[in-house]
Amino acid sequence: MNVRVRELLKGIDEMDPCVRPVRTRRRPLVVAAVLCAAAAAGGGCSGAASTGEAGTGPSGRLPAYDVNPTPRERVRSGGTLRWPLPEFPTQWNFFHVNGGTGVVDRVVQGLLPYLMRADEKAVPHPVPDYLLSARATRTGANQVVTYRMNPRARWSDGRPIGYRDLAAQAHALSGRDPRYQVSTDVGYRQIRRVERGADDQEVRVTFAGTYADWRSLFSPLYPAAATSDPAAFNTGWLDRMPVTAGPFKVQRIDRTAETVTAVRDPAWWGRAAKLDRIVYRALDSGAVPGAFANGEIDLMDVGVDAGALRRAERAPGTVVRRAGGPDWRHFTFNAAGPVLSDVRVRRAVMLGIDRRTLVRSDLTGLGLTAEPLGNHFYVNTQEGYRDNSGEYGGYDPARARRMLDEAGWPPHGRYREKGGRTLALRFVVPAGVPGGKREGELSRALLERIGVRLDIRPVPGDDLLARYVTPGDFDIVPFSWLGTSFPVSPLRSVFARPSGGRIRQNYSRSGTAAIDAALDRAIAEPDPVRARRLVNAADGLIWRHATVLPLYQRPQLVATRRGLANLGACGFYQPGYENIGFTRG
Amino acid sequence: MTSPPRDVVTSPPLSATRGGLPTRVLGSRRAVAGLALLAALVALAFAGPLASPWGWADTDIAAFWEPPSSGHWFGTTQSGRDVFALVLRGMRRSLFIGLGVAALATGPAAVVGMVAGYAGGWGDRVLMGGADLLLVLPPVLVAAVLSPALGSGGPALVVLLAAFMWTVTARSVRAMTLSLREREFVLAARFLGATAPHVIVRHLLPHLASLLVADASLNVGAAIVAESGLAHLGLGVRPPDVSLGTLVADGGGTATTHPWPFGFAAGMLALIVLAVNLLGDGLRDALDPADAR
Repeated sequence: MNVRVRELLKGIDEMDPCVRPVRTRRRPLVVAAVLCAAAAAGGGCSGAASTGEAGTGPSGRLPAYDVNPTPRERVRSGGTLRWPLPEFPTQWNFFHVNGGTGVVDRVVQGLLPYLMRADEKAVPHPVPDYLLSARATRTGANQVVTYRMNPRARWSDGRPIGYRDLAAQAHALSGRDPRYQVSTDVGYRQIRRVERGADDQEVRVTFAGTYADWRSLFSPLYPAAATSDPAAFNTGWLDRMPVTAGPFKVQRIDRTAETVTAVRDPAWWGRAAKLDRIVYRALDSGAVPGAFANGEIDLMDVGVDAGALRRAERAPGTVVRRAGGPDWRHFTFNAAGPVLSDVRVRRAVMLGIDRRTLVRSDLTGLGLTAEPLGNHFYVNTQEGYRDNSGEYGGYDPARARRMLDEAGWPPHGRYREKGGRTLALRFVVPAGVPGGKREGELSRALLERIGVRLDIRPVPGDDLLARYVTPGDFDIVPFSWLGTSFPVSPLRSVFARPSGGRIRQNYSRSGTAAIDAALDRAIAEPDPVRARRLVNAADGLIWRHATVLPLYQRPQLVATRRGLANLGACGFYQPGYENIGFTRG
Repeated sequence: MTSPPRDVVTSPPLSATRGGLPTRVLGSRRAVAGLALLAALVALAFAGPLASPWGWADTDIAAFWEPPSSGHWFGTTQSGRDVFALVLRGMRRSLFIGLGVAALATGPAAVVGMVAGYAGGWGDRVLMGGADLLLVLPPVLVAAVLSPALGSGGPALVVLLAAFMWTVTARSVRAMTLSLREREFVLAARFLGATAPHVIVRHLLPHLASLLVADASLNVGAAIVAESGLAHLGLGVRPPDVSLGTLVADGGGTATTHPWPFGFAAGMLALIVLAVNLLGDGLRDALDPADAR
């Protein structure tokens, strides 16, 4: 009988639901992945050799990044960095439908031009090695961006980086030629034309209307040879990277050992890379902790797991870097459900859930504290973050009880009732994943105090989105949204009103015309400062509508070898790979 | 040719040798130890909550992952629940599931196996065909399909687990019955005109008893652990309710850093299985006619 029983014991794969807001029309996924590289196993990201504020954030707030920032003169020249990858890509064209993963992004960041890179607050800045300046202007209704490329920038085949490359990439990703199997056409779809300026290094890009997130474009930039021909685009970068232009170049892609070896490129015109080489190695997530403990890799993502943290700390010569990550955890309320369709009940439930307690429980044992998150678009460490939770972000059971009384749910014994119906909410969690269940247990205990019964429903992890959340068979569901440096356009599909039965990713199935209008205004605003103000205005409306309750910014814990410099827990920070290295001594 | 028949003609009457069954069970030290341990565990599971300062559904939001202390005797979980109260709750649930499944799986297995083996022919084919059909069904798939219909009730779970655990036992009981029915004492009983039920109960069952007892005691532990596997499918206990299986499964991931939720639940699970196996061992010794000389 035991053989039979063992079959019953095979666990479902653990899945902590982490969902990515989608902002493409054709194929979901991808662009939002750009800055999430470190969220996957084996993360890490470098900070520039500047005076960082790592580890010194005000108490109760995680630092924006923690990468052991070290001036270049104190970084030893030489050495090999061994960096794990959660999977081994075959398609190295990031914009191909099979290539748009955080893994590809992590590797090509050291090999290809990125015209803009985000700082730790997710503000994009030009990378002077490639782009001297970029200026956005308006001509009539249209926005024109003038790129001034670095004249010294060259591909490894000797061609200069300039007009041809941008024009070819804009055409390939415009979505107008279906032969290009692109992962996304967001942004590039809005480009009306790309023109040569005074010389090949001056490029004028004209958009149809305005596009606020134009700084996300051309990062990475592929050579014209890869993007001017559909065959080259689709197959030219399968298992190879024919042309590069970065501090490192590809020495070898070994499909058998599942490693990519990048070595210092002597033709690099910028400051020379400190490391001799970086060896990326695909490792199963279960094998990563052992490989790190054995000294086979130099850094690994610990995740939000106290057990893994303790094991990593036991490895000799280890430093754990902690920073706020781009992802955030939340509860989504089903506002089309029988009980939560009443905004007063949703607000009461929000007031009845003590977010500080949930945060404390989820992050206990990690050696850090975090504040509840007060924003649906920006996380605490991101430029533009403001706590908009207002009157609905705190814990106020007395007021929650009053609101439920007013909404017509008088107490009846332990729980409230209305017309014979008990005030009970379905809390759907993936079975076998402790996090969601724990949050359910705590919320149940908290909501019981205001007379609301929470029924925790564990469901198979694979079915959670498809069979429960998307069809609306739930009242509350906890999961994480993956964050990006450009959060507004992807999150529009999460907060815009469902139209014609299509909810896109608005799992709360509710919205208002005012929120839609505020979001559209924010997306159309090219000035970053004004755009952030508009985003916060929209966020305030969403708080009042009470459909999504943000819990906290997920921390990022990365274990590294002691002495690893300018790499660690990066948050939004995008790397200058030439600065990564090991400190002297 | 006056020598008496060489072999025993009938199965020796059990009571004729060394006193009655209760006497012989109590004479076995292992059986007594197992029975005492099981009784102590049941007493703890049902009386313990009266002494515990915390209920199993309570949450202490001031104590997440606290080690054992005078306030929380077995410590707390990451969500501030009292591990002592949870373990007792899980023991009640798991004892019910384990003992229920053992009875429900081994009982029908004995009946079906003996009837099929003794009757042979069509009855054999139909019964074993049914058992084989259950044998080829993937339990996880069936559980997934049935889980919405069955709900989270304990009895439904016991039936489901038993349905998948009885078939292999039934096959081995049938195989033993096939060989036993050709033995002289069975043949003699049949030729003397004993009815089939009489032969099965009086002559076959005593010889199968040790196999069945061993099987039942193994089933107890297997069922308790299998229940936690089903919890992955949303069948089994629904949170915030717990069983020892779900406590072990939830605590396993952090057992190296926060061992108490895992350790106490796993320890109790081990004690239950130990008690049942000791008792089963003792019973087997007491029941086995080959030892009863």
